[in-house]
Parts: sequence; C-alpha cells; structure tokens
Amino acid sequence: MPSRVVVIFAAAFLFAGCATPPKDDPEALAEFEKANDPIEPFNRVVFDFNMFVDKLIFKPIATMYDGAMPEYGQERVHNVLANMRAPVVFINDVLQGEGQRAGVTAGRFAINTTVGVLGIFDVAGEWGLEPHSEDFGQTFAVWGAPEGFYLVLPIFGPSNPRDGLGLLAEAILDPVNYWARSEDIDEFPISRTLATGVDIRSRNLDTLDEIERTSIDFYAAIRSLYRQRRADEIRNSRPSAIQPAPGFSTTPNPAQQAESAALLD
Amino acid sequence: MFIPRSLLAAGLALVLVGPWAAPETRAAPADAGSFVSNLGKRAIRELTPKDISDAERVKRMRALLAEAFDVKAISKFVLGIYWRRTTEDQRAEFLKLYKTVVSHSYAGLFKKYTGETFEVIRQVSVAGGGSIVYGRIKRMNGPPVAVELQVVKNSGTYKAVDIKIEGVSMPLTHRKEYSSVIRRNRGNVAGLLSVLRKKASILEDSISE
Repeated sequence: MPSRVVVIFAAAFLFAGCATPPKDDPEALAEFEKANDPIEPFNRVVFDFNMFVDKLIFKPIATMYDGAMPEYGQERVHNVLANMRAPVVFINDVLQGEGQRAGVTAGRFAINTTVGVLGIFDVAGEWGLEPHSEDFGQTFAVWGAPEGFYLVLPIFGPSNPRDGLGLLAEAILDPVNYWARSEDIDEFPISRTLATGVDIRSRNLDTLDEIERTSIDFYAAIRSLYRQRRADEIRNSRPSAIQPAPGFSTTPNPAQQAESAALLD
Repeated sequence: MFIPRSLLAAGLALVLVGPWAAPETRAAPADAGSFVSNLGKRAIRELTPKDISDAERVKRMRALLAEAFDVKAISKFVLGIYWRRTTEDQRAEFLKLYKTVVSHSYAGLFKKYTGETFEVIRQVSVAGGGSIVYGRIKRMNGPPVAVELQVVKNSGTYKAVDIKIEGVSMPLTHRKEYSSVIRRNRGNVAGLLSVLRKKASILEDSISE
C-alpha cells in the first residue's frame, strides 16, 4: 500500500511538473520568486489530495470527537499529548541555547508527570510555568538553515525541506518513542501520531473552515499562513526587528516599495 | 479674570450636557494603546453575542472596519505591485469587494467566540510614525491568543493598518493569496475582480433571508 502511494505521488510530480515563471514581467517575476514555490503544480495536487482525505476521513473524525468529547475531556487529552512532547521540546530548547525556556520545559515535565498525573492536569501552568512548543525545524532555522522551497507533504500538509527534515528527526529521536520501542509497545508511536492528528484537527475546525469559506485561493492562503506562523514560532513570538505594514509600504518610490515587500517575506 | 476659551467652552459643555452623558460620547482615545483596547473590547462586545443574526454581525463588522481601519491603505498594500496597474474604477470595486470579504471573514471568526476578554499588553512607537500595540484575547479554555495591531494617526484619529493574530498578518496573507490569483489569471487584475465578485455574492447570499 505505501509503495502504491509513492508511485501515485511520483506520477503526480511528473505530470504536474514545475511552475512557469512570468519571464516577460520583471515585477511579477519578483513576486513569483518571493512565493518560493517552484513545484507549485505538484504541491497543488498533493494539497488537493490532502483536502480530499481530510474531508473524507480526518475532518469527520475530528468533528465527531469534538462533538462527543466534552471540552474538559479534550483539554485533558491535549495536556497528556503535550506533556509527552516535553522531552522533544526540552532537547530543542537546549539545542537553541534557550536555557531559561529549557528550565521551564523541564520543570513542567517533572511537575505535570507527577503531580499532574501523567500530564492530565497542567499543574505547572497554574503555578506560572507557561507552556511553549519547539521542534527540530525551528532549531535548524535558529542554526541558520534556510527553509528552502515550499513543500506540501502528503497527510502532514504545509512544509519545506527544513521542516520536513525536522519531522523526520523528531520521529527518530523522540525519547518517548525510544522508551516505547524498548518496552516493545510497537503500536505506540502510530497511535500517538493519530491521537495528535485528531487533537490538532479538532482544535482547528472552526478556524480552517472560516479561512476556506472566505478565501479565493485556499492553497495560496495556507501557504502564506504557514510561513508567517513558522516565522513567528522560530522567533518565539518575539517582535521582529523591522515591521513594515500597509501604512508604511505604499510609498510611491518603487525601489523602497520593493524593499519593504522583500522584508515581509 | 482670564479664563482660556477652550476651558470655558468645556465647562459650558459640561453644564449643558452633564456628566451623565459621558459614557455615550465617543471621545477620541488618548493614545494608540487605548484606541486598540477600546477596539478590541468593542469587537468582543458587539460581535460575539449569540442572539444576533449573521446579517447583523456582518453589518456591525462593516461599521467597525470603516471606523477603525484604514481600508484604503490596506487595499493598496494587498494589491501590491498591481495597484499601479489598476484603473480608478477597478480600485473602487476592489475596495468595495474587499470590505465585504473581510467583514464576513471576521464576523465568522467572532461568531465562534464566547466569554473572551481583550487586554492590551504594551505599545511601541515605530520609525516612520505610528505604533504597534500588542494585546491578547484571553479565552475561557485554552491559551490566550496574541493580537498585534499597527496603528497610525491621521488628522487626529487613529486607524489600524495591520492586524496580526498569532503572528499571522491579515493584509499580508491577502496580498499573497490575491497576487497568486492574479498570477494564475495571467497577471490580470480583472481576473481577480471577477473571482472576488463571485465570492462576495456567495457570502452576501449566505446571510440574506
């Protein structure tokens, strides 16, 4: 089965081919290059495939879960899953040289696993240790790795080579999965991934529906959202140094305008 | 005795109108922070009630958008390099359609909210004028949502020119999305307008009874 999926995507890649840049229009060409999506036709095929699978499987399951499980229960499930990711977050905090954040993550894991009963209750959060997330993609970015081109992964969705590699690193290096393998609980990583998928999807039901309802190019909207969200996560939500906004990037000087626009990417 | 005229006028106004009228008056906010604080509170107060119709929610969002946002500057930014390639008529139509889409979009997002509160955390001035105001929506369940508004002051009134939620800017996302549509229509703004026209009419139909 997996090999058949690979064949389908290889075929899609061959048939969809690459995006055609608007060569005769320098300004439009600059915009095209900023979109940094050279395999856009292929990405759109995968995106459509993901949307199809989502409507057929993931969204109905997430909707069912959202409807059947009381909000209180959903929070508990989310807490357990988040607590299980704490070791990965801690490793990445350390790899990014974020000593204080690493301390917070370690403290949270120790408190929530014990007092919080395997993470069911976010006791540490109530004690003032606010949660945060990290992953290997963000660590690679902090180390200076460029994101590379936009890449839509089957099932996993919006990504790029850097973040895709990050996902792979996490799957291999996650201490909790190590522990599961050593205990011979083979189905643990896959069950956990599925549970995480349902948790994430159910928390985004309304927002994604709303974006899709009012957008005219859902693919392009998601591409931009993903990039902005990642940039914010990599900065740990700290304000970026330069923040041009609509009010300041509408100067009549095209050079200045181009510069402002470039800063936004 | 010399009394400044403005003070006299203010005193007279106070006597005539009375302090009981104070909550009704919409005094201009003293700084960008209080402008955003008022805006956030008003949005939650007016847009989250469950007992209003979708049409009423969109109508309220339209009013809020017109009052508190510089939609023209945002439109110009959204069209980006294509702004200079559009006719006055196309710009006017884009502005009208864009207001409709944005109003529906935010009305839809606020509809799902219950029991949220909004607070401003801090504000900073930016080079070139204006300020960035950082705030957050506190929810009953789940972590707070970070909101960031860029605000400029034009002839005494504050207007928002950018809004970011969890680091995602609405105008920037629209700029990217719409330029993709223009590009897929061979660089034609008319193509974007035709797609937007259809979207706006679907959205408007969805709230008309």
